[in-house]
Amino acid sequence: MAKKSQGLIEAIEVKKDYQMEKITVNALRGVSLTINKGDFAMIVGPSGSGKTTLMHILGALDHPSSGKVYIEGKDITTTDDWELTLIRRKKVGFIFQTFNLIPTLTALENVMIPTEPLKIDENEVIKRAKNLLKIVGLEERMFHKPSELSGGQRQRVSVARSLINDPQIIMADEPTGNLDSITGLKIISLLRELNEKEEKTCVMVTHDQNLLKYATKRIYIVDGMIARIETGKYTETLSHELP
Amino acid sequence: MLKLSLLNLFRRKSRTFLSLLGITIGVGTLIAMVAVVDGTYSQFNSLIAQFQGLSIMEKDSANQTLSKLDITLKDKLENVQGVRTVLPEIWLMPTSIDGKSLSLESMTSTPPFIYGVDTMEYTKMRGNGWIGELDKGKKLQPSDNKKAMIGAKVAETYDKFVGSSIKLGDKTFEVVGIMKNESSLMETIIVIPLDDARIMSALPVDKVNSYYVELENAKDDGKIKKIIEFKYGNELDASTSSDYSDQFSSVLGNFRMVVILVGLLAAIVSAIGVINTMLMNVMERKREIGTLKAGGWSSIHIIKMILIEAALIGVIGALLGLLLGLSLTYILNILFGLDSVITQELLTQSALFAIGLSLFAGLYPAYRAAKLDPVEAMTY
Repeated sequence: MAKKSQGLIEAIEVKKDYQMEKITVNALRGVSLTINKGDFAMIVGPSGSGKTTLMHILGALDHPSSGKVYIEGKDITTTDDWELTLIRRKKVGFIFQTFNLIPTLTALENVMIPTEPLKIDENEVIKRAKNLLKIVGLEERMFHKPSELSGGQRQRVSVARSLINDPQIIMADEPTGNLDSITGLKIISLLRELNEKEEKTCVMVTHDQNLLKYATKRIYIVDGMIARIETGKYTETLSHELP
Repeated sequence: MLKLSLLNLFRRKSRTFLSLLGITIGVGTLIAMVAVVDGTYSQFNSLIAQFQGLSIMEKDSANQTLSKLDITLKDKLENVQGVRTVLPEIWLMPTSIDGKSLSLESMTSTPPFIYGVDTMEYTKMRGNGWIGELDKGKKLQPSDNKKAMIGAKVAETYDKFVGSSIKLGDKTFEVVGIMKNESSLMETIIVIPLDDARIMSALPVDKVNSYYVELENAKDDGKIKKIIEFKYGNELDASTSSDYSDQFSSVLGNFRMVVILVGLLAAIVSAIGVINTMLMNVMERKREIGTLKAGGWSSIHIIKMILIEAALIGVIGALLGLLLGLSLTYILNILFGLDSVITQELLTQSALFAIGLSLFAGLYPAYRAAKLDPVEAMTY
């Protein structure tokens, strides 16, 4: 079901309820928003406000209980799991707070892992993965396992992993949450570079208000509802050479 | 994916090792047990193959050593049409050989046994009956006493050759011939004249244990068996080679079935081990599986990954099991003097069974992994 829409991702009156034993938790209570191509959007809010749930739904990882979500005009609320898988495979790359790397695989292999279900020539994948590791500055560490990498390096591997299928959208769930502030800023800087140079649309969940200045769109969420949305170019220039 | 599955498997080495051990022991013992049964079966078949007549025993007697038949029966049997030679037999176990008691040895291998025959009739025989072919020396002659022909295994075990003397209980015999036999069951035979055997056994002068009846034409065995049983059926049983074969096949067939069932039971236990290992693997890797799903892996790919892990346990377990089975069989053969037979079919079937079983054991864990909701899995 295609819909004419300006937005790359559009959510209309999205609700999400969880059943926890006998209690129904209303994680999202009617959220509407639009993410445009090229946005660097940050969803910000306190713990338990529903920001991660919203990101999962926007990233085709979860179905809403009601409401509509369109990605490139395609209604993803009526699609089955298989179609959601295809959307994630082609259009969305995920970055997680806890990196979620496979400990037995090298950085290079971790970057390559999402291509496994696709029938792509392995040499081509290796070339692509090496290039991505070069972009995230880990060219020298590509044969190291996650345990041999620092937190920041691990997150950079997961950034590279999210890009391997060349998605248009990057969804990042608290990507700096497990990193010290300097390393965290480096990751933000990397994401912004991808946003600017590679024209990736980024949707990032954070509870760190200090990061908001780097976003082009700021979505404030409280108790499962949007408190306000601010748009506008970021004003501060983020130095790549951090102290 | 193969590499990923292999690496996943060896993340928890001890757990995987225990699963492998289960499969290995299951497959290994199954192979060894079936090999022993099949070996016995093939030995018996080659024994039956050289048996070309009828075996006559006392009616309802369990075996030759317990049977008692009148010596006068010999003439009666000779008068049956189609009968060529009638060989009176006495069977017994020696109490000792060269002063050494047999009790321990008889526990561990086919024990030597004494086969007393009427030497006059033996020399008339066209075939060899139970005895086998003469390899060295000469056959027992009608006038011989305190002389013996011994099976190759007896010669080897007791270091005997033609001209040696062998002491059976308190009687000393001169070895005149050494026999080789297709069936190793008969290689522990010690053939002595009937009268010498009678002295050693507790049989009265007018009795023997059994008769071996050689026929003019071996193909008539069924017909002649009927005639003999019709005439003397109240005092004796006659068995053809196919009777023996049927009887033995049915006993051994049942035994083989029991062995396979025990093996299957062991296999089921090891399959439960594999299920446990795989389930634990899946539960521990929930977050990873969620990440793979978020990255575009479908449920089918997740199932494939888990099933490859299960199949790998099967393949490695099967290979180790084959090695264990071969080694066990080899050790059993040496230790107990068995002639176990490992066929390629047995190896292939056991290996395929182990792999199939592991795959089957992987189904449920794979299903659980595929069913994981990526969102839930990642909050684990």
